[in-house]
This record gives sequence, structure tokens and C-alpha cells, in this order.
Amino acid sequence: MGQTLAVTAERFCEQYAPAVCRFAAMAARSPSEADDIAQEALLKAVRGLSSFDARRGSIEAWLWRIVANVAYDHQRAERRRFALWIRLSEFRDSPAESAESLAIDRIDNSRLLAAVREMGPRERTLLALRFGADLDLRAVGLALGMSEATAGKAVLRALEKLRITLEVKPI
Amino acid sequence: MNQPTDQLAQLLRKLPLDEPRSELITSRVLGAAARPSPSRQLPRLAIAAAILVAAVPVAWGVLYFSPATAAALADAAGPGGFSHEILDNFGLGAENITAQSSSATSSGYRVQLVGAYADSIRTVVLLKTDPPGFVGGFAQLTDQFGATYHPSNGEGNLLTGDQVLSFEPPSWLASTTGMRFTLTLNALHVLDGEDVGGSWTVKGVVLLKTGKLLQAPASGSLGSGTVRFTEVRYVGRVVSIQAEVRGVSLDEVPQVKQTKPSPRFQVELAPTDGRPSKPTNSFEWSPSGDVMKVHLLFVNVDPGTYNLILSLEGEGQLQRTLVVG
Repeated sequence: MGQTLAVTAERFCEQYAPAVCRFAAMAARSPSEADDIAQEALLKAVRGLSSFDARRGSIEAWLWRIVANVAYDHQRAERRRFALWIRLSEFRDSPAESAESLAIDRIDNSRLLAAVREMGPRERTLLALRFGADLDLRAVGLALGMSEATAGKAVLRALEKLRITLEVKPI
Repeated sequence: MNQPTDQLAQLLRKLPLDEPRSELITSRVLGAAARPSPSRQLPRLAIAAAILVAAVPVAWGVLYFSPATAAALADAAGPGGFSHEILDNFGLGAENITAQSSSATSSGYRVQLVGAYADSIRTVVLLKTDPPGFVGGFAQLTDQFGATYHPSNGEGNLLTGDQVLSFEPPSWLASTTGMRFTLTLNALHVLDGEDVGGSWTVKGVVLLKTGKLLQAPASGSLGSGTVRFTEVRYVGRVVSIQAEVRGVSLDEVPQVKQTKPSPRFQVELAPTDGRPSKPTNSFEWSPSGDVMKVHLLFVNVDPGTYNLILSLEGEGQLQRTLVVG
């Protein structure tokens, strides 16, 4: 690996690693999995930098496609991991709450995160790209190989599903 | 978006997350990227693997009849990839583990025996399950002489499928010749909180690590009772203490307003030189007539001088000096 590429890789990581890490933290079901996703995705991207072809799209779209694919692979492998069961059991075993306490503005962060992590790989990836990495819908669509409009509908469906999981009634 | 989903979106944007440290990830990525891609090393590894595969059947016939030789060879490999945290909790270093390579698949779950360790205190097996699951139901170890051993302790990491099971120490005969053991499992506790039935049998070989008997502390009073230390052993950074307690109950006492009983009996092994690290401990006791037979285990104990402290809530404390090493 030449000096030029090493510098490019460093700048690349400096620019994108924070967003990739935040995405991974939301898409993963455990901190160790988040570490793995962030590291694997960035490494794949860095190793592929020399073959990146700007004529085929932006570097951001190329990166997020890699990130989404790595996350999706991990999530599928993680589905049967027991740690989730422990976390969800704690969630489900908590005392029943009143209707008032189910208002959205009173959902605590741990419940919200648990509910996100209970979702399927596709929805988690969607939500993590949109709200974890803070991508716009066009970028979400490019990462997942869909149009901006389709990405918007998919994100909305994921949010609706999340709301139902949290048993939040529309106001 | 309607109002609830808008609000949810806002909450998700602001959700505090346990994010990987980007500077650490970056450093690892740049370090890994500077090394050759694993795919470039594959041909060399494939050749090495092919040689190994070819050698195994030849070696197997010889090693079966000589557990000591098999274990000595296996010792060189170590339990690569196994959780160090779990090993630490059992006071085991990778260098103490005899690598094993037996596996069984049943009901879609693969149980792999990756290591074993035995001394005069315990027999320990290291397992990996894929998909991850905890050993549940019936777990039994038998040796080549037909002796059976029951599990006494276990711990696992359900993210990785790594787990350690501790059994009784090898019988005198097995400890003399080397232990060729068979582990039989009939259930795994898995993701949905249910047990998956099946039949897993894995086999391994392990030699007994030699330890030493330490000077037992003097007997003493614990509240209205007495404690007599009958045996103290040190092996593999573990101190095992056998004691007999008379005249006082060690049973746990339920606390008012709490569902969990409070630990009435507690033990501690603290370095006398004030080092902050204290070995973790576990203990169990069983009644034998009017005597309570108590077994204390302290793991990750380095040689040195320690204060052994036994406390019994509402009764008192017994402190003794113990020289380890």
C-alpha cells in the first residue's frame, strides 16, 4: 500500500468513521457487534478505495452501500444471539405501564433502543441510516438500492412498526 | 409523517448510543489495511491445512492409546479465540488449557469442545456452541474408567457461544494415567428461552496439573460456632479451602422488602500488602450430621500472603493469615 493511499485512507476514516460508528451503534444489538460492524465496514471501504470509480457515483453512496451490506450480514447472523433474549426479557418483564406513560415524549431511551433492536435487520438498517448516520432519504435509497421515494416509504413503515411495538397510540 | 412518527424520528435522532470510539476504530482499520489482505495469505494457509488434515489420521491411531502424549501435543496449540474474560473468571490462563477438537451437531446446534483443564480441584471443559446456547438439562462427564463427574459451576458468553463448565476433579486413577473423557449433553438453553433437546457427545484428553498442599490455617471461632480448616490446595492460580463449621448455621436470611436473600456467610481473601486486587471467590456447603462441610474457591490468586476472612452476619468474623505459593 503506497503512501498516497494511506493518507487518503486516514482522511477517509477521519471524515466518515464518526457517522459509521453512530450508524453501527443503532443498527447493532450489542456494543461488541457495533464495533465489529464499524470496523469491518470501514476496512472494506478503505481496502476498496483504490478501486473506487467516481464515475459510478459518489463516494458517500459507495461507502454507505458497503456499510449497509456489512450491517445486514451481521444482523442476520445475530438474530439468534441470546443476549437479545436477555435484554428483551427484561423489557417485557418490566411492570405494566399506564396508558399515560406510553406517550411518546415519555418513552425512555432504553425502551426505545430495545424496541429498535427488536426490529428485523432491514428496518434496523433503514432507521440506523436515516437517524443514526443522519443520511437524507436519497442517500438512504442509494445505500439500499432503492429510489428516494421508496426509501421514504420504507422509513415511514419502519417508524410505524416501531410505534406499534412501543404501543404508542396516535394522538 | 403524522405526529407520533415525527416525534419518534426526533427521539431516534437524539437517542444516546453506546457508540464505538471512532478514533479507536480508525486506528484499527488503518493498521489492518496496512497489512496484506487475508485473501493473499489463503494459498499458504490452505497448504498448511491440507498437510494438517493428512497428518491427523496417521497420528490418531498412536495417540488414542497414549492420552499423555496426545495431551502434550495438544497443549502446544492453546484454546485460540476463546473468551479471555471467562477464562479469567475461572482463574485459567490460555497456557494452562489443553486444546481439544471434538464436536457434535444435533438439532441444528453444533457443540465444539475447544479446551480442557484438570487439577486436583476441578475438571474444566471449554465449549463453543453455534448458534450460541447455554448447556442445559443433563451434562455429564465420564472418564475412561467409567467414573462419572457432575458439573459444579459454569459460565458463558451468549454473544460468542463460549462457555466453561467445571466438574469434579479427576478420580485418582484418571489423574494418574491422564484423563480420556466423554462429555454428554442432552439440552441447550437458547435464544427463545426454551431448551433445545438433542444428543451431543464430545471427547477429549487432559492431564492433571500438579498443585501443592498449603499449610491449613488454625481453627477458630466464628460467632457461636467453630471453624476447622481441613485442607488447603493451590493449583492453577486457584486456592481451594475445605473446612468444617460446627455450632452455627450458614443459611441465607431473607431480607424484609427484598425478594433476594442476603448473603449471611461471606468470605474474602485480601492481600496483606494492601494490593487492591482481591481474588474472586465462590463457596458452597453441605450438611454432614451436625457439621457443615464448606468448600471455598478463590480464583486468580498470585503467590503471596493473604488475610482469609470469614464473616457471618449477626455472628462475627474469623480472620486467618494464609501464605500462598
